[in-house]
Amino acid sequence: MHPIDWGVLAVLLAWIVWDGVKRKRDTTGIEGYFLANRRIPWWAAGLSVMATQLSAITMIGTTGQGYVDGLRFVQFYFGLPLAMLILSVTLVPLFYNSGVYTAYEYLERRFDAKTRSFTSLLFLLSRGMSVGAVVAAPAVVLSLVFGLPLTATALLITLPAVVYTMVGGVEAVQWTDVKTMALIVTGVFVMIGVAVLGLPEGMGVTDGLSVAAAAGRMRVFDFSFDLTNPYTFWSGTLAAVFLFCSYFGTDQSQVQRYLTARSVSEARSSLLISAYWKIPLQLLVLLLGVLVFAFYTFNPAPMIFSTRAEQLVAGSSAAGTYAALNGEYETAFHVRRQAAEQLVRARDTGDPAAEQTARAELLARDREVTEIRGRAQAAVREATGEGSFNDVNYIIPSFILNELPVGLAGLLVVAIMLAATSTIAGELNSLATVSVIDFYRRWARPVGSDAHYLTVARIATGLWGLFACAVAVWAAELGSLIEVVNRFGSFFYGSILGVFILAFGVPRATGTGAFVGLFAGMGAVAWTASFTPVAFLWHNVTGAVVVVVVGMLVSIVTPGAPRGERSAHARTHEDVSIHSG
Amino acid sequence: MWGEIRKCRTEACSGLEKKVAGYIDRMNRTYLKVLGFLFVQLALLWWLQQAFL
Repeated sequence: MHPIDWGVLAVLLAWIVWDGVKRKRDTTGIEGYFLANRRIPWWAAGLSVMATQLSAITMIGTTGQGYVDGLRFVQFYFGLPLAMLILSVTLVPLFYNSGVYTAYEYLERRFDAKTRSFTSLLFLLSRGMSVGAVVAAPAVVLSLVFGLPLTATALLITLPAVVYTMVGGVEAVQWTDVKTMALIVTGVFVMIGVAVLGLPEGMGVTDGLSVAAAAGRMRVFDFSFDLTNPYTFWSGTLAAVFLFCSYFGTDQSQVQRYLTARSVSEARSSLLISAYWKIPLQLLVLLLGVLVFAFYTFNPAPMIFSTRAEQLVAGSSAAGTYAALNGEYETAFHVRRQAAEQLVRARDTGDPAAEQTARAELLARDREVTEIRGRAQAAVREATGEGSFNDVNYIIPSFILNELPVGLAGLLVVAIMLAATSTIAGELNSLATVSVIDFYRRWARPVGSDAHYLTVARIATGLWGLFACAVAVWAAELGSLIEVVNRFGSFFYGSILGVFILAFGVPRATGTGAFVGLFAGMGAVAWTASFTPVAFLWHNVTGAVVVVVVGMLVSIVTPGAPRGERSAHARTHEDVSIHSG
Repeated sequence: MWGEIRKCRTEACSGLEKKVAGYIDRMNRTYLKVLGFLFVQLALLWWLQQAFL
């Protein structure tokens, strides 16, 4: 990077950290630290919800997916508005009005301590390890792009989040998220502008999109009902509803965002921001990938977007084969460019038959280029021993560093880093909240002063921050372990949703029923994932349904909930009806 | 149905009836707007796909 880009990066990072740290003055008690004294405006809470999901993996991976696979991935989000509506009328008022700090706290009021503690533990395990995944992916990419050691980029991403989260609490996290969102959206528009301006003279957005469409990148809808395909209209509108209900309704990293709103009505409004804008935002991110594809159809593009991978292959025994492949690629690339130019000319003349022929030609030439790139990636995998190597995550960083003007490149690199930082900050804050509220205050020290819990909360955030740094530093070595734990995490997402469905919708459900149901659900998902080809989105449906069915059956044969639990349940529902009516 | 819901807001009615009435009551215009916006988005995406295919 140019020194000016480094300057932009340093100034923006310093500003974000300083702005977060100064929030300390508003954080005088535990409610301020964990819930921002419930005074965050709905729009800021809503943007924070969106920023927490928009991790660096989205900025790097989703744009790359748009480049390689087109707009198909947007179907994944079709169920999100429906999930937000369901949560707005069910769990949001329930959590908000019962005055809880964590979603799991409610489970003890409704069921028992073991159900609360076990679901909290599952959250700590899955989120704790996902911090590693959130850091690892961008850290690896940025270390290769900058030529810095992995440790340095991992710490560069993680440390700012640790500092401002530890000092400023959830308020620092949320206001930083707002700035991050603004920076990311600006960055995406800037990159789209650069990609469009980089098209040959006389060509505009529609020409670029037509070229991308001919190469299959503009197909959105897939109506096939195929349980093994994760990205179809049906998995997006049906199965994804379960995933999003679970993520936004039972995952503390999301629940905590809307618990900071000023009222239950504002908490709902903050969720509905995602309901309105998540699909357009995701479409924008994918469109960026599609337009970068159009850009690289007319401008020179490397066969593989990772220079380090190319260097490694060049130094291996496969160097000769790779060089021959590169020659083949350059010819195929040139022919594809000619086919794309032919298509644009055919469009200009308005001859449908010529346009149809040109489209078919471009599709065939693009398949050729894709096939050669596939062989090149296989050569990299063989030469480097990295069995999962794929250059999808390097496309956008490469575009930023090679095509953006000095200054803007720095801005965009900061946007990617902050996308990771804001996700980590949100996770650290929620991990600390669950550690303190659901474990320390529940089991170790039920009675204590506000100042004491605030100190413990800061220490917990710092410890989780250290853990995040450690996982990040050793991310490369822990790669397979992180993958295993994240896979394990996907086993209980739907199952936890099932527990909350029992808690909220089945008055007769007992703590034992929910607890046994949770294990049954996790077992069913593990079995489905191991022995059937069913795509992961449907695992959430399996988990939730099994928990509810088994939970209801067990509740019938086990004694009812003790009186105290019943009354707590009744009180919570009473609160809902009083406050939300 | 709406009459029944209004009745549930003012008079005592219990159990499932009250619960369902409560949900529908909260499904106010905001939620209809969200659903409407979703359908508009799906329609625009369909148009975008067809325009370039």
